[in-house]
Amino acid sequence: MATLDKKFGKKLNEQQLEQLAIDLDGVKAKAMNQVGSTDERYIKKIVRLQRTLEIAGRICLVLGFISLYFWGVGVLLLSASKILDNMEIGHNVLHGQYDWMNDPTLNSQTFEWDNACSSESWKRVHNYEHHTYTNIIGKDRDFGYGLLRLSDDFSWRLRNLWQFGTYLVLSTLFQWGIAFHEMAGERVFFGKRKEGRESHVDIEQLKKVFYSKSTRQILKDYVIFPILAGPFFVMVLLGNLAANLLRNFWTSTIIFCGHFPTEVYTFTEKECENESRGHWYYRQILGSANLTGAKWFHILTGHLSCQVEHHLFPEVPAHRYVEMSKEVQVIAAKYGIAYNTGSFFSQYASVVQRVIYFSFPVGKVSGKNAALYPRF
Amino acid sequence: MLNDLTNKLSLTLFNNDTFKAYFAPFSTKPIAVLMGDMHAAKVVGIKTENNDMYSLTLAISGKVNEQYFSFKPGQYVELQVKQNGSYIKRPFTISSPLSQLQQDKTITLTIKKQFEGRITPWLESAVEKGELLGISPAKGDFVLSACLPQNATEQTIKQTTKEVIFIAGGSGITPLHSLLLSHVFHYPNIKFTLLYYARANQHVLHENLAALEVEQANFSLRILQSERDGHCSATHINAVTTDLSNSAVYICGPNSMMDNTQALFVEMGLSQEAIHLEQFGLASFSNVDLNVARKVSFTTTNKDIVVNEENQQTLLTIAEDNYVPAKYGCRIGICQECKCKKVSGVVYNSQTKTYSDTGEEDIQACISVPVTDVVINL
Repeated sequence: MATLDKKFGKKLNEQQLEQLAIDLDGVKAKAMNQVGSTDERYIKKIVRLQRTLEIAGRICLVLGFISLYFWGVGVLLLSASKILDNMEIGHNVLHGQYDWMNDPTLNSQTFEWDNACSSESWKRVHNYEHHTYTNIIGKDRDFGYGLLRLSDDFSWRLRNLWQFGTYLVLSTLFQWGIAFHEMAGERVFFGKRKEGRESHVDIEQLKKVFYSKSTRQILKDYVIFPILAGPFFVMVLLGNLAANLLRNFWTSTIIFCGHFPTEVYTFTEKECENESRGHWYYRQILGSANLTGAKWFHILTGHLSCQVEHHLFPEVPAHRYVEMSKEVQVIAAKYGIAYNTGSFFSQYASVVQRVIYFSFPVGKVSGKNAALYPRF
Repeated sequence: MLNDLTNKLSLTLFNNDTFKAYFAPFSTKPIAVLMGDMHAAKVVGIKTENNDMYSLTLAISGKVNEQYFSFKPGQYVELQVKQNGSYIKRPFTISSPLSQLQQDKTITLTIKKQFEGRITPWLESAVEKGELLGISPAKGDFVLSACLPQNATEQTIKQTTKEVIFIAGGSGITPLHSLLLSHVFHYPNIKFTLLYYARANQHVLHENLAALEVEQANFSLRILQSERDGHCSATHINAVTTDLSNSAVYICGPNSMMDNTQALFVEMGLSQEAIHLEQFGLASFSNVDLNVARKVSFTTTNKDIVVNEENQQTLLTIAEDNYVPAKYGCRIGICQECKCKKVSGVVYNSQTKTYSDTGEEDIQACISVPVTDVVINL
C-alpha cells in the first residue's frame, strides 16, 4: 500500500471509508435538518445587499463627474456586488442549495448570473465534471484549466516556462476563461476533438448559448449602461470594466486557493473507478483546501473559503460551512486525513509556489517535494 | 410587445427575466403573487369545523393573465403557503357558493387534515388573519356542466329536466357543498339529491344544506351515519331516485368509497359517462403501499410508464430505459444536472434515505425512486 503522507500514515481501508461515509453523512443530515427559514432569510438578505450595492455602485460611477472619489467608490461597490452575485448567490444557487425554497428567482434551473459564462454551461463543467471528478487528472479539467501545469501528472512543455504569466492573464480574463472552458474542451473553435469524448450537448447549442450570453454581458456593461449615463459614457464604461476586472481577480484567486495550494492531492482515473461514497468523500477532503478569515471574508468568497466542506456537501447552504467545518476537522483527525487549511496569504503564496515550481521541467516530484505536491 | 421589450432589457441589464424578479427579495408578498402567477388571497376567516377539518375564507384580489378570479362550483384551487422558508403548493376544494364570491369577493376552502401530512395539520394554527397567500386560477372538471349537453346554454339548462345525485363520503362534501349552494336555486327543473355519508356528528357543513332543503323543493338531503347505515347501497339509491337512467351521479370521498360506489351504479345500469368522480387532495404518505406497481408519467413526452413492484430503479434509469430524453451528469446525486420538477407523487431519495413531500418540488432524477404514481416534468 502506498504511503499517503508521512505525517498521517496509510491510506484508509474499505472499512474505514465506510465508517467515514457514515460520519460525514451524519454531519450533512444534521445540517440539512436545520435548513429552513434561517437560510431563506440569510440568502434574501444577501440578495438585497447585492442589489443595493449594484444600484449604489452604478449611481456612484455616474457621479464620478463631481469627483473621482465617487468613481472609485462606485467601482468598489459594483465589484462587491458582482462578487456577491457570482459567489455567495450565483455559485451556491446554481448548486441547488436553495432549490428547496421553491422560489423561481433562486432556483438552480432558472438562475442566471452576472458573468460571461452561461449558468447552463457552468453547471455542466463545474457542478458535474469538477465536483464529481475533483482532482482526477484527465477527468477534472479544472485542474490547470488545460493551460497550466500544476502537477507532475502532466509532462512539461515549453509554454509552461511562462505559465505564471499565463496564470495572470487567466486571472484577468477569468470570466471569459470559464465562459470558454466547456467549448475549449469540446474544441469548438479550434483544435482536434479528442476521440471517445462523451459529449452532453451538441456544439451548435454550445455556440448559441455562448454568443447570446456573452453578447448580453458586453451590451450591458459596455454599451447600454454607458449610454444611459449620457455624456459620462466613457467614465461608466471604464468603471464597469474596472469592476469586472476586480471581480475576475478575486474569484480567480479564491478558486485557485481552494484547489492548488501545496499539499493538495491529485488522483488518477484508475484509483477512482467505481469508488465508494466513502472514497469520494475522502478524495474531496484531500483535493481541496480551506482559507481562514473573518465573517465578511467568508461571505465574499461565497464560503468557498470552506472549499473542503463545499466539496463534501455541495448542496448544503454554504453559510453553514464555517460551523460544519469544526465537525469535519474532528472527523478528519479521527481518520488521520490531511485537512488543508491556512490564512489567505499563506495559501496564496503556496499557490504561486506551485505555479512557478511546475513551470520548470522538474520531472517526477520526490523527497520533500512529494509531500508538497502529493499524488494519491 | 412592450412587455417583451422590458423583459429583454431586464434580462440584459440584470440577468433576471423581469424587473420584478430582480427586486423580488425586497417584497414580502408570496413569490407566485409577486411574479403574477397567482392571485393574492388575504386570509379573512379561519374556522374549525371539527377535529379533522377547518375552513379558510380568503378575500381575493389581483389579476392573473389579465383575468380576475372566478370559478365553477366543484372546482379546486392551488394554495401557495410558506412553511419554514419554503413555498409549498397544495390543491384545496372550494366549498363556498359562487354567490359568496360575487357578493364579498371571498371564497372558502374547507380542508381536511391529512394524517401525518406536512401542510394540512400545520396550516390551521400557522396561518394568521390578514396574511397574504397565493391562489391559482380555479381548475377541475367536477362541475355541473359535465353532465349537461356540451352546447347547453343557461336557458336550455333551465328547461332540462334531470336528476342529479350527489354522493359524499366524509370530507368529500366540500365540492358538493359548493355545487349545491350555487346551482339548486338556479335550476328548478333539475332534481338534486345528496346522500351524505360520515360518522355520527361528523357531517361538516350540513347546516347550510339542511336550510337549503327546507327552502328548495328540488333538493333533498339524506344524512347517513356510516356506523348505522353502512356504505352506499342499492337500497339507499332506490329510495331517492325514480328514474336512474335519466340521472347523473357525482361522487366525492375516499378512493375505496368512490370505487365501490361507482361499481354499484354501473351494476344498477348507469353508464360510465354519467358518473363523475373527484379525487380530492393528494394521497397522504401514510396510505402509500410500497409493494404495488406505480405509474410514472413524463409530461415532456406524454408517456406513462408502469413499473412493477419489484422495480426499485431511479427515475433517470426508468426514463432512459423507455427512451424518454433526460439530462444527466454524475448519476450519484452531486451535480444537479438531472434536476427536474416532480409535479406530484412521492419519491424516495436513495442517498438521504428520506421520502419526499407529495406536492410539486424539484428532485434529482438520478437518486429518486418513485414510490407512488408520480408525474415528472423532465
